[in-house]
Amino acid sequence: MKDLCMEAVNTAESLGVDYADIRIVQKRDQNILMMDMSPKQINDEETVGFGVRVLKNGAWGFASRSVVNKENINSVVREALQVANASMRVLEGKGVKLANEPVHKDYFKTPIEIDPFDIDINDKIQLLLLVNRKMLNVKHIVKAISGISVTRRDQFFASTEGSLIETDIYTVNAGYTAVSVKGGDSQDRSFGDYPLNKGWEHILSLDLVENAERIAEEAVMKIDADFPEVGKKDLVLDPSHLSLTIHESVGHATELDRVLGYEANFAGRSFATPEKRGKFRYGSEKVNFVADNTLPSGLATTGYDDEGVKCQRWYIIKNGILTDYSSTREVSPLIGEKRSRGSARADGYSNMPINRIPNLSLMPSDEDITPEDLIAGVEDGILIQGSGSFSIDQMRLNFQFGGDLFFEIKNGKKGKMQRDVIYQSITPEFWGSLYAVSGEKYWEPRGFRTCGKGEPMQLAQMTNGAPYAAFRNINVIRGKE
Amino acid sequence: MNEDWIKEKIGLLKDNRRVDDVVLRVTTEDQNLTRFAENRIIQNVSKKINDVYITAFNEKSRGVARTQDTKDESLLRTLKRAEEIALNSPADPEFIEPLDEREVKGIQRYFGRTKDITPGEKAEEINRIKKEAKSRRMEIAGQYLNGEYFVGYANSRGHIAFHCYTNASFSLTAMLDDSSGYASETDENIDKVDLGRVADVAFSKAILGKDPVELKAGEYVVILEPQAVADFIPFLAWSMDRRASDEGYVYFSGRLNKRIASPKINLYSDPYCIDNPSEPFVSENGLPLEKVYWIENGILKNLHTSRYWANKKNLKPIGFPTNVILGGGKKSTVEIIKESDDALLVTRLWYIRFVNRKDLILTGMTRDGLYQVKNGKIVTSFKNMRFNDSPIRLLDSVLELGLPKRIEGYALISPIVAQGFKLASGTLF
Repeated sequence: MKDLCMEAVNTAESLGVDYADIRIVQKRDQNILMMDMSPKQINDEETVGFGVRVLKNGAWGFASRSVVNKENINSVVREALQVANASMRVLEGKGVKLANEPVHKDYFKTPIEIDPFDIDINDKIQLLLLVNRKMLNVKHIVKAISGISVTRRDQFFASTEGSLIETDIYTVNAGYTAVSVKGGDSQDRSFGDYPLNKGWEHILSLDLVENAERIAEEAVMKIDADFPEVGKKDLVLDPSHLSLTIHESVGHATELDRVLGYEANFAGRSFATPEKRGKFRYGSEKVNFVADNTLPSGLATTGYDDEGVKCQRWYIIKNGILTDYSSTREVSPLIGEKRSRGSARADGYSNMPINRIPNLSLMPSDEDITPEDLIAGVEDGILIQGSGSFSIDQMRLNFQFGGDLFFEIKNGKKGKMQRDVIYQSITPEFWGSLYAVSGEKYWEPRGFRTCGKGEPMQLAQMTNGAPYAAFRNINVIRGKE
Repeated sequence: MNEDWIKEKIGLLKDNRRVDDVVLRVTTEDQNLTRFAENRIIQNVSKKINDVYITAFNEKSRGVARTQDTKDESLLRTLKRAEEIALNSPADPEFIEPLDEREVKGIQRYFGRTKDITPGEKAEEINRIKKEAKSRRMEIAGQYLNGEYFVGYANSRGHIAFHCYTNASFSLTAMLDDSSGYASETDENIDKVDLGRVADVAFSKAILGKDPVELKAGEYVVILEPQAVADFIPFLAWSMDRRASDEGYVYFSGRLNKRIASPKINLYSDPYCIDNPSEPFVSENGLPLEKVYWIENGILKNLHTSRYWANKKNLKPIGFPTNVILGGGKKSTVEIIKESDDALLVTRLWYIRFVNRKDLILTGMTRDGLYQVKNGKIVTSFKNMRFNDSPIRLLDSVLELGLPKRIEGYALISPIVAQGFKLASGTLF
């Protein structure tokens, strides 16, 4: 593969491009989906292909093929240059100028203990059948859905600047949902799907079977739970819930390409514009967001991003103030930065990398604050666990979230289960109302494998970790009429 | 790849199989995507991708393997991987055998010019629109996509289905300091996609949207443009599953053959509709798709029904649709506006998600143009609003339907005038 990479680089240089890179991506996915006791999907997928990106006179061209050979590589480099020549016809100013990046010759592999592809596919199926059987054995459960997904992505990257990098990344996740029906009503409850860049040891650590019956019982209990009182409430949000709120209201809002208007036609823009950097109060003093693509087992922990920038750690929000963004080599110079934050990711070989959310986490307290301590500080509120409904406007301001499990909090004590809780807020008001976070012991690296952005949509993965966090006076409504 | 290729390769797989049956599924795309923003091209992407899925059926077990290498040795290697999965997997209690011999093909909607337009030609057209936008002190963002596509299915019992088509789509967001306007067009025939027309609509919407004011939360009469209706219709379609309905966890449980919407509502799918053609089969199993009414004169008539559930319940299988059509009237959105005394005009909806699946309540935001119409004219623009409402309630409170418009290549959708659209909270722009 390295020889083929160098073939592309040499051809691009001979054609006089200003910059070019190639990614050859070999990917293997095993996906198993079980509905009740029926395997609806047992897939073992292998893809291989390459994409070439060319920069000429400030304009991009990109071309890709699903058949990797020398002949195709040479023709695709030429095609990418032709496309770049077309892009030159719609140029603004001097066009694209890439931020500098040191030349890297390196190899990065996800540290794993057990190769997930060494586990027999039938063992994976039997695990899910056992989980589903346990859920279906609970009265009023009408549907049990479970899945396992394991992926290996082996990418070779080379650029005309001299970088030559191989990244061999493993990602695994497993999860399930129980659907209950009782008295004409229905609810569902999910076991936290918890992807990480790890080996099969992560799946073993999830205790999938041990939790199945409890999850199913909670799906039934939700039907009989009380609805929340509508109005202002304090909220205690657990990491399995908060990760999505972080993702939508901070992660996407601080993607620099979005901030600059690149995604205005579909994925949207952001209120967190560059003049606010270093000044804007995004949240309370307790709000610290750190981007860390070196986070062990993080979903964006890949050694290097998809344009050969080394993974980094940096503050995005410090003591509540907007301090920085995620960025790529193209957009970082546009706000005066000399180096990209290494956040360019492509969905496979056939898409051009775009600015994606890094591993981005709300930092825990230095103090040993427990979830119980947070609950004890609430007179009238709700504890929310897991993900539910989620929606945010295209400037990342007005949002509305549900959850998966809810408990009333009264006078500092966790009370009865509730159902169909929805909360609404405006991003800076919400993070401004955060008044406490738990200690590091309760921080969890939750994350997502199917973050959508771009047009047509590309998928990417990243970890959005969080401790428990407490918020004052958030508007709560009912999700059922 | 084409019809001949898939017929030849299923023969190869059939001759070399160790299992009872084998299925070959293929997609190919040869396309160019030009994305522009900040008044310049930000991405210009050409791709030629083949994707092959091979399914092995052994007694009551199944295994699927995928490759993107279409050479014979790769196909045979992929067959072997699929067979190994099938031979080592437990029996599926919901196993259904592949379909028997039949040929299914879509209507001819292939236009060579759609495929052949070059990135350079597209850039020239975008440049013209950029100059027009700059003369109006606007910024633009959008995409211009063109390509040819093939979808094929064949099994070892002689069932074959395929669909080859071209597609062109152009969408544009025009932006001023405090407003934006959006428009798009799509068709198999690029000559029917009028970039100037799209630009005119997006520009005028951005101008009409200047100086937006806040709107109070409440229930409003709305004119939903076809794009806004098309934005929420998929959530309806996804819920229309017969098995889920019979098992009691979706809105449609117990409502079959009952009135769920205004008698004005006719919602159907038809892959052979000349104005909105689509794949005439389910890509996963080759099941032919026919014209099917989901809601006819307001009555819930059909739900998509898997082959397994149909077999178990002695029903006719109805495949998940590949297009959707909301039948309408003859008035364009512009004519509806002219005849409206007092309504909100909604251009587009964004980030729609279920709030409650059982009750089919959705949430989402308005985007790129929310206006007040008074006495036939757009008089005010509003900052965007969040809605929490049911698409079924909306379709039940429809006052009028307009002329259907093609949206995003899968939907042919009327604008609707409906009462009581529930706007829950506002945002800051």
